[in-house]
Amino acid sequence: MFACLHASGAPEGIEEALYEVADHFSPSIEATGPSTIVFSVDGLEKLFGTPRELASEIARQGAERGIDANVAIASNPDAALHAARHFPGVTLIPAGQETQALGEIPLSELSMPAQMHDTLLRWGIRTFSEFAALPPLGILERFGMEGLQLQDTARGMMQRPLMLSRGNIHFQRGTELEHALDNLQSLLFLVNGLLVDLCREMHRHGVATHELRLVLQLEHHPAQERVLSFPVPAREAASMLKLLQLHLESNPPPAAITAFTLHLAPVEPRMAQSGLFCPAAPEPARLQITLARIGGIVGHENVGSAELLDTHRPDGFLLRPFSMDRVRDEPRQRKVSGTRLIPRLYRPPLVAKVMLEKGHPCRVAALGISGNVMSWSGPWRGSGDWWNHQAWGRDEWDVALSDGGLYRIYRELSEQGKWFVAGVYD
Amino acid sequence: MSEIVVPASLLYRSLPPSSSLPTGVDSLDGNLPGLPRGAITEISGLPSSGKTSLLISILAQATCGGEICALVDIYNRFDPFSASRAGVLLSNLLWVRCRGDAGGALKAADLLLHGGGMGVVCLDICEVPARILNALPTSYWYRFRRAVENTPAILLVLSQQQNVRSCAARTLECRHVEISWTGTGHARLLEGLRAEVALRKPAPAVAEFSAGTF
Repeated sequence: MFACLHASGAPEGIEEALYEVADHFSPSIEATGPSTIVFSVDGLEKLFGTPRELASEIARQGAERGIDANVAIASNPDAALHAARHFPGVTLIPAGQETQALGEIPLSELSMPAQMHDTLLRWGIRTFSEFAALPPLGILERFGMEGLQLQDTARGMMQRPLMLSRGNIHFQRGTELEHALDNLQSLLFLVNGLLVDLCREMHRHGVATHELRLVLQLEHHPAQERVLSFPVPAREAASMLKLLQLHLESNPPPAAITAFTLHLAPVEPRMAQSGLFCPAAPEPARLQITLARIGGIVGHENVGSAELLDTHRPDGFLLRPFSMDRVRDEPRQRKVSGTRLIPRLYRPPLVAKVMLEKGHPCRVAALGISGNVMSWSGPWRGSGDWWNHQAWGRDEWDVALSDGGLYRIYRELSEQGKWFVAGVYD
Repeated sequence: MSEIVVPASLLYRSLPPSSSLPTGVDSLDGNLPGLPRGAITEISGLPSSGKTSLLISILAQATCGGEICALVDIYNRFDPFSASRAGVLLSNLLWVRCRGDAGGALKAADLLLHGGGMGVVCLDICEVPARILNALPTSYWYRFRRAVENTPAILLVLSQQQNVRSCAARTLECRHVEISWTGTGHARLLEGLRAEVALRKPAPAVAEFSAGTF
């Protein structure tokens, strides 16, 4: 048995009020629309009596919250939904009488493709009962399975599970400490207990989290908030605790901790099905711990994937945090054929002393590099950003030196005209 | 019955590689075996020997195949612009810049190998002074060999001189043969570089490839 509440208007906050009413009766709730809610009322006979008494109780609960809503009870969600939307007041549809009860509802109430609706109108079909009377085989031939399912809905026979809503569930735990904690191991021991509880609760609600917030109350210091964002939704307490440990070890709190609160933001869990022939990829939670550990060694700003900027400025790129969401795991055809000559860049460029002969370099000397120019190509001028304070300009040369190296050197187009070695082709 | 003591280093018996990754360079793939998975491959060569061009070609091949690769770059020498133009999918490449810290780079590579799931992990130790390389514990290479063993990962070590030695399943040595130019005078253009790749291990073989400019 399913009940449906449909508010005739859509005043401010009606969605929350409807959810509150439904939540009073059942945990299985589907928020079908902004002013419509469907919920299961199976097994409530012992508590509220007959379906009529149950419907009256639902209407009374609604009225207490100032909701002017139609109530319908039927054997399936869609029958209850259409009855509540179409019939005012309280409607009870006994099992087996759905077709007759819904028969007079106009066909326009049924959500169907416009083309199918036009076709049915041309056939003179105007109501649910007329649609229900059509031969199912003919409907299947003309409109496929979708048409047959819509006809079942019009007959009030469509059985489907509810698309459950979760409402506003807060995953939050906190504790006040009798004695201020001044070492991380003790803190993490306590955090672990709360985190395990929260993750278990998230598992029960079928959600995961993409953000962990830890609010630390400190002795003689203002409170601090630490936020960890996860690239993919997670609900494994062990990996979250490890990430929190790495974070706190790299940024320890400045004073002893007197209380703390953990918040986990709920999101839909990650649904991923790897292809049978796709290459193996790192497990996201494990990869994040690995990246956090590497970040602790070389600095978090030095770990990521490069993203090229839309600029002609040499070395114009950003290093973004590595994300499995941006990874392309399907094999694709390599666009570039053949091997390309790749430079190894010096960052920062090496200051060079360059001797010129007839306007072209004849000798280059820089840190670890020294030689006569055997062959050269250039100069190739590049400049940009002259419209702002980041203006750059340079004349580039490719030079093969007597030491066997092939280098890219350049001279700045500034007044000083300094020479640099940008990189070595390798 | 007398006891026979076998040195630990001799207990290692490398398994035949299950599969290999082509380098993406036709002339090499036709003449040399590919890079074995679950093993260490070392590519060495002096500056301008073509080793980085070969590495980028391998990374392009792996990332285009949908694999996730990592580049542990000690001196921040990687040029993402050229790599992207050479076919590397930057979104599939994790770049770790080590600010000149060779010890940190080895730890990062170790974490990546033990984390699992990477197709190719490249450790770029070119330009690291010999005194620093010699001071690093050699046990790292044995550790790396164990870490990649029986996994689909390839540990690629890019160096100026051979360092991995007995732990490497493949050793490739690059040497530039010729730098080619087109045009004359101020219209002269760098055309590319022709390099020779000598396979030192397991069986000696030689092949050549050309790397052209964009």
